[in-house]
Amino acid sequence: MRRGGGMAELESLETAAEHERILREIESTDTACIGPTLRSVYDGEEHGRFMEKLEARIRNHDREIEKMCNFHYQGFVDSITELLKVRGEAQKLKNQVTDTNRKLQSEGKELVIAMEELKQCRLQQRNISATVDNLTLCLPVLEMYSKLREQMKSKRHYPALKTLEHLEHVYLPRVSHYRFCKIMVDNIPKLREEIKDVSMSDLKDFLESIRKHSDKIGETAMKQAQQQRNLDNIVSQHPRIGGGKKYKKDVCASSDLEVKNSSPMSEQDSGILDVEDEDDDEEMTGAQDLVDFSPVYRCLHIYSVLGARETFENYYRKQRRKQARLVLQPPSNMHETLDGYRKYFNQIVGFFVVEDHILHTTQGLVNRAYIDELWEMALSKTIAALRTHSSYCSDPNLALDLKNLIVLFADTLQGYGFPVNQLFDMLLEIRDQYSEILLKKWSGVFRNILDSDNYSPIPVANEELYMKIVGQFPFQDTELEKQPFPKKFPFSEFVPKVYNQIKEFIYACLKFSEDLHLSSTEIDDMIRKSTNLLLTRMLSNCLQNVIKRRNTGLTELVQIIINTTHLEKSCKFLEEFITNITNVHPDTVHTSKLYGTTTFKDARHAAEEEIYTNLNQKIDQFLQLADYDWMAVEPGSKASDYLVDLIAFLRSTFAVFTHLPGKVAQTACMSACKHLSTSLTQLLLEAEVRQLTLGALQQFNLDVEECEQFARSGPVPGFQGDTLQLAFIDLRQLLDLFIQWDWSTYLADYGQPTCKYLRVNPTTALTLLEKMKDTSRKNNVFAQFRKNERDKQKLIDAVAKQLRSLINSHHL
Amino acid sequence: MAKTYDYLFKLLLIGDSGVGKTCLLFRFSEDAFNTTFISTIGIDFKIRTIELDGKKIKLQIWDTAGQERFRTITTAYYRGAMGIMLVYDITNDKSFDNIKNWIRNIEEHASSDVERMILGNKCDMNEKRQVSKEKGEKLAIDYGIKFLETSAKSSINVEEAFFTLARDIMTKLNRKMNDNSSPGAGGPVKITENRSKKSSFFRCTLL
Repeated sequence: MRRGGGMAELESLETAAEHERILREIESTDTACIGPTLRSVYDGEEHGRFMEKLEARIRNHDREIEKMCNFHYQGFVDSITELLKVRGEAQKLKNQVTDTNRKLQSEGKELVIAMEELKQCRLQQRNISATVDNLTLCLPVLEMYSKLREQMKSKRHYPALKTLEHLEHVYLPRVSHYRFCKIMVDNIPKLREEIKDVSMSDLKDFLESIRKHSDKIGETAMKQAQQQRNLDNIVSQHPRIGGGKKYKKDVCASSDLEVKNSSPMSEQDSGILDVEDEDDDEEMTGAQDLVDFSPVYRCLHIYSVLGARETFENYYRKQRRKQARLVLQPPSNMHETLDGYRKYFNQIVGFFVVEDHILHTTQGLVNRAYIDELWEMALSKTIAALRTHSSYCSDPNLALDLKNLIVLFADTLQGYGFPVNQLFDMLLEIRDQYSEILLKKWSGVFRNILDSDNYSPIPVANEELYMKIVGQFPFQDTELEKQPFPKKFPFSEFVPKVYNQIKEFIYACLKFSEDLHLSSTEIDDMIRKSTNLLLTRMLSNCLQNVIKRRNTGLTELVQIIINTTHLEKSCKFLEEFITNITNVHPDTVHTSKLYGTTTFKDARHAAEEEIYTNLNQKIDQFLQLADYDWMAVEPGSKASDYLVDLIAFLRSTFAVFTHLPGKVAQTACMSACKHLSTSLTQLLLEAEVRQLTLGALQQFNLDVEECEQFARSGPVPGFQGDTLQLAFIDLRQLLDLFIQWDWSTYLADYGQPTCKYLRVNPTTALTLLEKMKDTSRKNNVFAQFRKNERDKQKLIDAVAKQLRSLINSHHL
Repeated sequence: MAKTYDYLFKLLLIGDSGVGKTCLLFRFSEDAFNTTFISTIGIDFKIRTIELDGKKIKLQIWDTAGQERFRTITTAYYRGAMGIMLVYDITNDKSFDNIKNWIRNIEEHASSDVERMILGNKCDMNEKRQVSKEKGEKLAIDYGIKFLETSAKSSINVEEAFFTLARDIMTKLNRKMNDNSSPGAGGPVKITENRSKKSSFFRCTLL
């Protein structure tokens, strides 16, 4: 630009600077943004100049490039070579990449397959879980249904019914859209009906089996009552007598006490038997536990659920009523054995145990009124049956066993809360019967004792035997104790035997009153009454029979008198014995006394009478041998043979029976003498004896003298003076009058108390006189006596006349 | 008084205690038997009327106690007896041995002409027998006495025994009566004769 000059020169300078800046901008700016720069070039006027400048610049740059290329040629070549190398490497790399890609592609294909599978799996999984959910809903229904079936099959109908309900109301609605559910729903009423039928048939089986097992149940219940009582006995340590009341209270109380688990009352609330009370005593399960009541409950529940409860109740009660009637019908041979009674009672107890359990474990299947009605019927029928059957009983042991059985029966049922007072009243009736049986039995016992007795004093050889007898019978005799062995008790064997049998009888009586819940006073009264009957009726009769028996001799009679004396003395010991047993003091309470004393007194009196009779009979037998010759002219030299024998017999008899009580011996002797005297008088005055001679009369007088001699000799000790001779005084005066022919005295003193012949009755005198008169008349063959005879005859007539007038005056 | 019999024979039963005297008498008089042994105290009697040769005979049979302690009482009855039964028990040796003593008793206390007879009682109890029948018979023969085995219980030979004794007494009586009709009779029997003069059988035959 220097070429341009001054002003031109300055302008050129500015333009050049401007071009320079643009060039620089072009060089430094990005090609894309070159536009505006280029624009500024186009906007200037000096394009040529700029072109020049640009040309200059390109040449400059070319030169620089050339310089640069010259300088970097080797480096360029190297670089190209390097680049060529890189190109080879790049090709290699490219191949590698291609290869890798191919590989990747093949690998990826598997993955895709797996992915596809996975996808399928996920789908399946979702489906499965949906199915499971549905099945979870359905399965319980099916399970329920199968449980139902199972329950039906195993006859657990009530649970089945519950299951059915559950199924119907809970499970089935949840899944109602399934077809099987529909079938189930349709089946439900059928199943209900089936359950109803089956449970009813179960109930029938139950009723049948309960009828069969009633006695077993009853037996167990009775056994438990027995155990309970034994337990009470041990606990109370009370004697049964008088302790009865306590026991009754215990039983009543036990219903309130939890302690008394074994008592039937406490078990009544144990509920349905299916629910087992494990903690309840296992060794003593209630009698009702023998029974599976579930059929009843089931049936009841089922019918309740099915709304037919009333039908069920009616059916049940009707059936049971029928059964009750059967049970209460006693077998006709019940009275033969205790087992007969036991079976009968067992059945009744069984029946009521079951009903009681039903009453307490069901709400109103049976009610109080129904049970009370049944019980009332049972009571009246049982009592009637017992009354009839027990009347056949003749064995005291059976009666006793029966009583124990009835007590147990009553106690058992009382334990279940049934009123049993009537049974105890009935027992009192049986007690009377038992007493009768005992009386009959002991009557036999006494008869045997009396029949087998030897009526001889018991001999004792040593102390041991002595003590044995004294132990059996209350006897004390210091005299006898002092005597050396061997010695004899005054009484015979029957005394200790009878005494012990009376005691046995008392024990037997007592046995019946056990467990009757009687007071000791009642027992005491009963024992005394029975014992009195035994003494006054049985023993008394037995003794009387022996005494009155035809062949009972003096030996037996005398021994009976001695024996009864000792038995009479023992009566107070019997009283004591009873008092000890009953603990009732005879003084404190108004009790009946024992009549033993009178019994033995009566027996003794009878024996005494019999001795008198017996002796009189002997005398009569002798008198039958009398053979007087009433026509004898002269008397014999001595008393008649028969009379001598008779007197000797009486003498030896009284000599032998020295152990007879004095009074009895005296009475016997006196009565014998009197009888002899009377009999002799009769013999003399007998109508058959038409005539008699003085000689005969003298012979007769000899005999009477023999009798008087006997009376005088004191055959038994204790008579005062001539008391015994008085027995013959009438006869003596009569004989004296006739033998001394002392009519003037007789007639003169007649009626006076001092009369020698006071006891001669004019009628008697006349009777005898008539016999002598007749004699005189017939004997008048002796001519030389004729005059005498005539005088005598006249005297007799006169006397007879006097006598007649005496007799007549008496009768006037 | 009407005559109820033609003769009265007094018989006596003797022997040890328990041989069955009372039972024999009970069987003969009542035709009965009592099993319990009740020993006789002192003396007892029974009367039974029998018929022999058309005659009514009252047998007054005295039953004595066998026990020693009653001996004084019982021996008093020997003298009046016209016939004596000696009884032993075939099941009891001792009672048989004692028969000799009883015979001695008779010789001492009874009339010399008393009729005697030995009875072996309880012959129903053969299984307990201690005395053979032969032994009994031998003893009877030795003493010249009749012998029978009896059983009061089974009613064997009881009637026979008493009838035999009664018949023997009767025979003796008849013989004696015949003797009596011839004068000069007497001797030791005299007392008895006198006694019997008043007794029934004599007069009966006279009537």
